[in-house]
Amino acid sequence: MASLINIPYGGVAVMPGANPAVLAVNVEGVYSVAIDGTDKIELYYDQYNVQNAAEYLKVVLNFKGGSSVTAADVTAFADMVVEATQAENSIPSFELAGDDGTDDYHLTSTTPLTLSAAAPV
Amino acid sequence: MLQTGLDLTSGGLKSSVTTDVSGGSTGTFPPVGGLTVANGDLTIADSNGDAKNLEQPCTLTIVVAGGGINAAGGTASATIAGMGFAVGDTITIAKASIGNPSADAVITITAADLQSASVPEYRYIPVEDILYVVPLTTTTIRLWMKDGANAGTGSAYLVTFSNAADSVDALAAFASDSVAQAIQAENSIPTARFGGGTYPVKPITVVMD
Repeated sequence: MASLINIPYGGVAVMPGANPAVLAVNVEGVYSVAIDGTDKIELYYDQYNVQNAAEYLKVVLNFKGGSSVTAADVTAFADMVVEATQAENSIPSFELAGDDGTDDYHLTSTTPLTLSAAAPV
Repeated sequence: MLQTGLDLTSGGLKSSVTTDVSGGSTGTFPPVGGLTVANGDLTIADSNGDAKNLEQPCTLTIVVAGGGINAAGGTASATIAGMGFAVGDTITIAKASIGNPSADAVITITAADLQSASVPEYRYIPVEDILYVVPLTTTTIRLWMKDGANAGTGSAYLVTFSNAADSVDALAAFASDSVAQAIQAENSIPTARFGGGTYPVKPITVVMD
């Protein structure tokens, strides 16, 4: 079964009842989590590139705020990946440590995640 | 569950105009946008003549030529498919919305006018390998698969809606919730739900690209 993590996404009241939205990310196969600048988290997957065996799948989580992501967030996300793979019947929810209730700490509306190929780390 | 509203082929409803118009102005109606129930342009009724509320609203464009809608140069097209039509339903188009001919125009829906003639009611999507939902617009999302490691050029489902969701965020979030629900439901097949504000929207096409 795929392992999912819910991450706050978009505006603060986009769902019915003015509730916030989340995007679920499939973290099955994630073997490394890293910080990218100050507003991105990189996920490295063990899924290889069918076009080039030297490249692997990488997903970048793009948060809206300019300096919202810290090293502690990356550690917390890595721990949650482990939790998600162990908890088949639940979906843990990730939140940046500095989340102040604004959408600065949410994934961006238009490009919440970026998919790319990367050398293994 | 797919949307099975009106066929969106340009001019697709022309042959179903059962009460054509005469007199009045010629041209494209409306010049911008579409004819809607909400604006009082259209009235929907079932085959018994009783007023009918659609599950999702449709939008039409009418071109009136010198000899009417069915004449050379005239057309009747759906630009937003709507949801909830059945064979025998009628769409009455107010004469005031199409150049004030002598009477209203009427379209009587046939099987060929409905997407259900060519679109199945359900489309099954394997969710196990979906990586995440990509928001594109209020009418399109993409479901990236895990084989997308080739710099984002891997396979994906492109899901297109005829009626727009309330926002890009809401459409993507509803899609994400549906994928998560399906992954968690090992012994059942949940029906995806999209949108929830003005009305729930249903995809009109789901294609792998």
